[in-house]
Amino acid sequence: MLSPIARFLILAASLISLGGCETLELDTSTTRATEPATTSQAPDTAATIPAAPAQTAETPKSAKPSIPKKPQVAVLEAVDFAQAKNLHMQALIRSGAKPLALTEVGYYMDVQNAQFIQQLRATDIDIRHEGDLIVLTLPGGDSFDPNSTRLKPGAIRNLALTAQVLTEYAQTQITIHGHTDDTGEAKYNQWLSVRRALSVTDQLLKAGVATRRIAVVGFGENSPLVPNTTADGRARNRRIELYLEPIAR
Amino acid sequence: MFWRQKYLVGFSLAAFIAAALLFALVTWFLWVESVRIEEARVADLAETLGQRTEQVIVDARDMLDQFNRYPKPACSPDHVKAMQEAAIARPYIRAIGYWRAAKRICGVGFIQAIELKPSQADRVYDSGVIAWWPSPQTEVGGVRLFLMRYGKHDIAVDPRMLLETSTVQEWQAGLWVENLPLASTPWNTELPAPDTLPIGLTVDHQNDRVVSRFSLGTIFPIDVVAIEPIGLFWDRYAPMLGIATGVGLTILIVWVYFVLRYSRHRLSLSTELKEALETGQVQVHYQPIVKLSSGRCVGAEALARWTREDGEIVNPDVFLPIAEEAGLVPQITQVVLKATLRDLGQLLRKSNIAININLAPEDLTSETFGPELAESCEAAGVGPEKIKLEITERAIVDSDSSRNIISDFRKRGHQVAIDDFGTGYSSLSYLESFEIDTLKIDKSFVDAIGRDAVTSHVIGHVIDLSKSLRLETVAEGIRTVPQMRWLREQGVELGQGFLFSQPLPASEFRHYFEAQIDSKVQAIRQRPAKKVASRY
Repeated sequence: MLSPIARFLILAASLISLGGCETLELDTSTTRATEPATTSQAPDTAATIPAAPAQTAETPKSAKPSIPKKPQVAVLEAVDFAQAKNLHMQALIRSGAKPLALTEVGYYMDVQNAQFIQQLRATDIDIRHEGDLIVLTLPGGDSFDPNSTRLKPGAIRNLALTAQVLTEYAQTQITIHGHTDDTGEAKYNQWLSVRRALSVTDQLLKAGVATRRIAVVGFGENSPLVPNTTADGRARNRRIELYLEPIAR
Repeated sequence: MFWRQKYLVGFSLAAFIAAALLFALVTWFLWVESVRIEEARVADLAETLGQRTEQVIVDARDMLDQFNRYPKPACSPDHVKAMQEAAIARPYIRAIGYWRAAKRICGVGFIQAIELKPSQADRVYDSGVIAWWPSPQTEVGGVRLFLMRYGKHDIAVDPRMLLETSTVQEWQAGLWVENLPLASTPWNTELPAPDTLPIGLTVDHQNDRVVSRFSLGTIFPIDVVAIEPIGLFWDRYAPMLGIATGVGLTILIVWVYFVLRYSRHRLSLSTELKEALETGQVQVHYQPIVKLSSGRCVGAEALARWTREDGEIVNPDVFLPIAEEAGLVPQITQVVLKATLRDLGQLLRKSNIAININLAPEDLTSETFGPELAESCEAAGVGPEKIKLEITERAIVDSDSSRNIISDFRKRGHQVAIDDFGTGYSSLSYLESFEIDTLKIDKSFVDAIGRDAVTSHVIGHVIDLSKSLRLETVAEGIRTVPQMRWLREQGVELGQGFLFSQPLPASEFRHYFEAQIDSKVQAIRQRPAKKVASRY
């Protein structure tokens, strides 16, 4: 027997999920609206990657039209991700990106990191520098509205600042990771994470970052930072991460 | 003899310990003081160096910040000129560079063809300033530089300029910023890391050096480690320690001198006394004995006084034990006797007073004393009845021969008095068996008069005893009028003490006696008048 309170909670939850669907439809329209911008972007040499976005996302029917028909950035499979990324790096070098000498990798990433610290001081982007890897984390809650793939204005400004450094430090590969919390269907979350990563990509491309440097991967709800048990935890799990790695053999 | 050695050992030990303590104290104080001064010196040095370093770092950062905001195009002639001017203005700057990512586009200074790109930054600050401490990777022309980059500009600092030799002087010094070694002097000296050292001054005896560490941290944690060979430290503070040693030794010598002098004084006293007896340094003073009923002087007790060469007056209670040890007592008796007859011979001949002379136990066993006494009296023309002999109780105990001698004295006409009666530990039986004329009641009984003490009752019995044996009674040490009155009421005829007079030199005694006759003074002559007055 369910108590009246429990019944109320169930009702409330179903209402929220309904609301979510509505926002989702709104989202698709906004994504569409951004699409001309994406297509207008002069594509760099597109990397040919085994994982096509069409195969990745078994998205809800309403979202289907938003999937880009012509891949401009590499969208990687979350499965076998490491290998896929490596292939992307190889392709990047083959396509003519100049690799860094091993002796200058440390300096390159150190000063790039310092530059990010200086440039992004006033933003909510978190910077992590471990070894030769820099990870920039855009908090999901501050970057996107719930279930939206459209970047908030603040996030767009922050990405513009980020892109300034990224264009200067061109010998860096950028992998954009999309993550969601575990609310809603896994397939939907997978789709959402890719879409959001692509939204970020769009911004970077607009700011002049070379397309070939960027790879995108959606992890959906599969790689939470913290357990999805609290609202705060879920907020932390909704995020976009930019993995910056030196282009080197 | 034993007490003297004990004194000597005790005093020597005390002297030595005191001197050593004083010396140790002075040395300790100076050591502490030296360390304190040295610490202050190094602290000053550290502060100077630290502040300078801080200034340089902050200034470099501000300069880089300004170049990052430079409005004109990068590497334009104006930009390069501005960099040039900034570098020239700062002696510690070796180069300023403008970078795009890891490529130096333009710059000024000594570093032109080389791009310094150390593989590991030492510090990245929240502002985005990134710094590389001197290392082989920052070395140019044998000098390891300190690099700092902020945005697109970087600066190379020669850390030697932070440790000016004029400030550091003879020290080996090292500068740590953020716990990383930045500079040291003389160049490339290996110094212990600051976190292995306590703050302040440490004397490293193992390596014969003085190691100092001072820290300050207004903006960055800065440590200065300075090392000085212990020799230099000593050189600096040797004069001070030398003076201290001098002062200490002087104190020690003065102290030892006084101690030696004192101990010699004690040790040689017997020799000195012997000499004094021969050269007449032992004089005789006379303490009047008066009739309590009239206050008239009827005689005196002759007391030896030793005036040493330096004028110090030694009392019998000090020199008599020494004399006893040295067997000089008979000589003292002789001296006293002769002095009495010489000083007061005339007085004795023409008046009827008698002088009491103290005999020592040795005098009673001596076979020569009796004849000598008789001879002396005869020579001086003084009748034996004018010389009374005082004998202490201790001297006559268990001695048949002394009984005979006393008997002989009396036969010749001398009167015999028992001195300090009541203080000896003898039975009273001798009072009957010895022929005695006078009992002198010890002053301890007189002192007790009027006090609620056991002795204050004893004196009454002593007086009764004396009366029943038909002996003349003399009370010694009378200081107050009530004591005198009480004794008079008890029937004590005679007395002596400060109430009447202190012991007087011969001439003064003569005056005292004659004045008394002249003025026919019936009242009590109160010599220390003030003393008495103050009591009432």
